[in-house]
Amino acid sequence: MATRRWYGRDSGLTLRMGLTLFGLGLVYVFFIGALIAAGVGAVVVLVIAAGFALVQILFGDKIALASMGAHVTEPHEAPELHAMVERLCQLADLPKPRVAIARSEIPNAFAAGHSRKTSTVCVTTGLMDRLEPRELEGVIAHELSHVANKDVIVMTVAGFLATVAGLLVRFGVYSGMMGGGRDRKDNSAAVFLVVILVSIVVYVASFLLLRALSRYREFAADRGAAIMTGAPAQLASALGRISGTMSRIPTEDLRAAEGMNAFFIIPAVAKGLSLSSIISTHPPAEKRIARLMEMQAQLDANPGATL
Amino acid sequence: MGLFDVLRGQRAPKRADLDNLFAIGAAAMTLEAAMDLRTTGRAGVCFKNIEAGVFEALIRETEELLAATSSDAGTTVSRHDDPYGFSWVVIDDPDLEDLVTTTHVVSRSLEERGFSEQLLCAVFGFDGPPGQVDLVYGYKRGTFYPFAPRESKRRDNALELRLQSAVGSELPFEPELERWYPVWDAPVAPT
Repeated sequence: MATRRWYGRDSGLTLRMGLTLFGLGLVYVFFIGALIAAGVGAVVVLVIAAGFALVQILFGDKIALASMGAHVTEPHEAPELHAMVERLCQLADLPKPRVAIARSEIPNAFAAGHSRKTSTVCVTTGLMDRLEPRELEGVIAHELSHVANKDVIVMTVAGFLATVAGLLVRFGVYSGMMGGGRDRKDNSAAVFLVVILVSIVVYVASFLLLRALSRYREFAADRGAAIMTGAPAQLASALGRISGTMSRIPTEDLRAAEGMNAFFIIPAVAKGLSLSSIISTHPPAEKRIARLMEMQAQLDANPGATL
Repeated sequence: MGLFDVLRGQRAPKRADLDNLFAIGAAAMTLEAAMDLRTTGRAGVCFKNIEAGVFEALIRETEELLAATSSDAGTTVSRHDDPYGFSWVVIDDPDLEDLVTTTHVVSRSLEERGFSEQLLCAVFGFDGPPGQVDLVYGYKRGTFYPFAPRESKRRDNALELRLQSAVGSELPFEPELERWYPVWDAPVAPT
């Protein structure tokens, strides 16, 4: 009878997502044009960038886990955590990922791995200590939604372009500093300048679009978790608790974790600037909590009805 | 999952599949003949907990429905919450056919209330000389798999595999072993 979904109803979010993707595509077209103009050297840069992306795809999860000092657990080591993951996976029809625990006071969680079959969900001991079981379930469902939505691979592919653009900027600047015209004509020097300028524009644009994409994926994962657990308020409560704790922890202690922010449920390093809303990888916790509470209100008003 | 879904970061919710539930009837006869395993007279429908009021209404409605149909006179339903934050509708009836029918009724009414995505599994308890073993029906996969819980969160994998070879061809069986998720503390053990 009634299908229960938040999907598609959120047309504003879908529209913004479409615009973001359109923007990324536009940047790409722009970028290809610039590459053709550059001609020499671009192929080499591309190969290097592709290599980076490949390393990120193949070893990204291992690097992430190693940098957190996480170790993959067997079911008998953490039976309750494993049971929780198993049930959520069965509910969402996902293969069970590896379950890792990181010894850290910082309450956080992340998902790594490029495919559903080889993914790992990692939680810190600080997270397990601070959250109620139902809240922890919400957080794990959020991470499983990232896995189900293939966010790691999407972000890596999207990031590839930004990496390429960034490399080209550097490439252009270095060449320029080495005295761009050994035996070049004025014409080629002008072309080169244009390439550098375009690369910078591309870099900035793709950087901002990537951040927007990342924030969108966070909302999508929150929604997925809400559907999976049927209790959006539990995740909202967890987010409130984590973000409250996060802001009290001095950032000096968290620098090591900064590079991992893209996959954390809450970024480890809080940015105090107003610019942060544009460049941060995560939407502000208050906004996410507000949306989750909206879903909860819909559920409370009419449990099981079409949403 | 299409490319568009991947790009939007959304996926269609997995709906419950109730069609294959009835297959258990024939398999149960084979289980009794081949391995001397009989139903414990209990089955359970497990789902992510929903609001208590909806839950109560569901139980009441099922009871009324059972009272109205004379053939199911011996069937009782009750509610149960497990330590994993999931809820159960537990069905008691010594007759397996009635157990399956009521399980189907309960699943259907949960689905009709819009809780299709919340349905986790249906568990049918079996017991006999080889020990307790449950047949678990995963709604999202539409398949059955065996689960033999033992002391201190261990499972009798050998018995589970024997069960697969006994009834694997009669039931829509879950082919991927890693999807044989344990369902600890299922309220279907013999009382």
